[in-house]
Amino acid sequence: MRMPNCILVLTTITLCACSEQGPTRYQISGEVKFNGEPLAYGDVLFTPDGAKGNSGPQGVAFIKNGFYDTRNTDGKGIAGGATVIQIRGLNAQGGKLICNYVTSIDLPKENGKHNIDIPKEAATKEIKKPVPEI
Amino acid sequence: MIRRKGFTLIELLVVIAIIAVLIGLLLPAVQKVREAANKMKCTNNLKQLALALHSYHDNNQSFPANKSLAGVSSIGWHVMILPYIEQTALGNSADPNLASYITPGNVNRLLGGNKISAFLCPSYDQILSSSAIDNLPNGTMAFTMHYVGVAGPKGTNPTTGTAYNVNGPTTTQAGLAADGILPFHKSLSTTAPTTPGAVKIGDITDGTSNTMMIAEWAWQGLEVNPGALRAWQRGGLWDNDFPACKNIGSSMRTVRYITNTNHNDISIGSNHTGGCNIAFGDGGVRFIRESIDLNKVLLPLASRNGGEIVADY
Repeated sequence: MRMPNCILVLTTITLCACSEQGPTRYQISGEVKFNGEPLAYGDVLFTPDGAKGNSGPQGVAFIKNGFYDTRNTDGKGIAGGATVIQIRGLNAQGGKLICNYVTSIDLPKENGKHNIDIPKEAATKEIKKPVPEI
Repeated sequence: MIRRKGFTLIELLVVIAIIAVLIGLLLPAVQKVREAANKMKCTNNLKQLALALHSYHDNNQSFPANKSLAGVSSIGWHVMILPYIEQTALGNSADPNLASYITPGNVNRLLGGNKISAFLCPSYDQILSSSAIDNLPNGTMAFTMHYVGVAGPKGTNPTTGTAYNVNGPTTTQAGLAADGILPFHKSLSTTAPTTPGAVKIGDITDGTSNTMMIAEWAWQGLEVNPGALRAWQRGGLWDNDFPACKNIGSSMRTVRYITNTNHNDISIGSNHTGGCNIAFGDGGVRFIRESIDLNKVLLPLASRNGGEIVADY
């Protein structure tokens, strides 16, 4: 019975190597509206608020057609607690920056939903004269 | 009784089954082995660059100083360490005193046509710049680099509760941090610095083993928005666009480029599973997990003089 034992050991090692390590992350999703309209494209960052003593890994999600979900491709779960949310909205993928919104909020340490309404004031001012690349 | 030579059908099936199981175990591993080899090559690249920076320090009494012509340097630290990675001829062809990078026939701009494999991580296949002003006279694109200097942290010091120094935080590329080992200017300034503000070993009061020097900047997704990847030799402005170095203000692989808003803030990260190779000030290269605490570990590691108590990582 040497061979089956050997296979069992190898399989166990392989499976152990697959398990993810690190701090707990919570999944979050919701709608994003800018000035009442669903935001076409952008990203939303969930940074643990260091100024309020919170810490942990940073979460990120990409907004598509007014929705975001940290479970989607390239998304990462959030740490929860006092969080700074930053949203940079574009008019289309690879398009122009239309809003840059930063807000501070206390998020629960659990999976959940959080809808974000970006006020009109967060609209990016037209950069009249960008610094030339040198 | 006649004893027949050869295997019975059952024996044959058992052997085939065992071979099938072994191949099943082996094949997925082949890809992993390839990635492991890439990661090792990448670690080696970082080690060479870290040693080159130390050699530079030995000869110049500081880490690469950006030639400060009213706060503009057309080349970054990658060019200044060329003589120390056995690219002396190429290094000598650069002109550190040129302020502008985009003038036609600029020797510094022509350097981009040379592929330096020590600046490229084998796990990331985007090796060309995607910036419009990096094209060469023959129409091809310049090569990019996958390792960036750590300009410093951007955020709040978890021990003192004060904000880290950032020069020009409201500029179009979100400013350039000043508290790392390879910033443009090592202190906070309100006007363009007129003397080179390069860091010396003595300035690293947190300890060289606790301070990040070069990080990998080569993750899938980085290239999604145009203009993110830049030519390897490019320097920049003291408080604005500076492709050779990055601010550490986000976890690995989170922040992407959005044209004219945040080039200096793009996250570091790699295509290696679960983390990224980082060279520290002592020349050691360590693999840092992607899931480490941002505020209590990554920011303190990026700062050279914050006096933080770094949480275990």
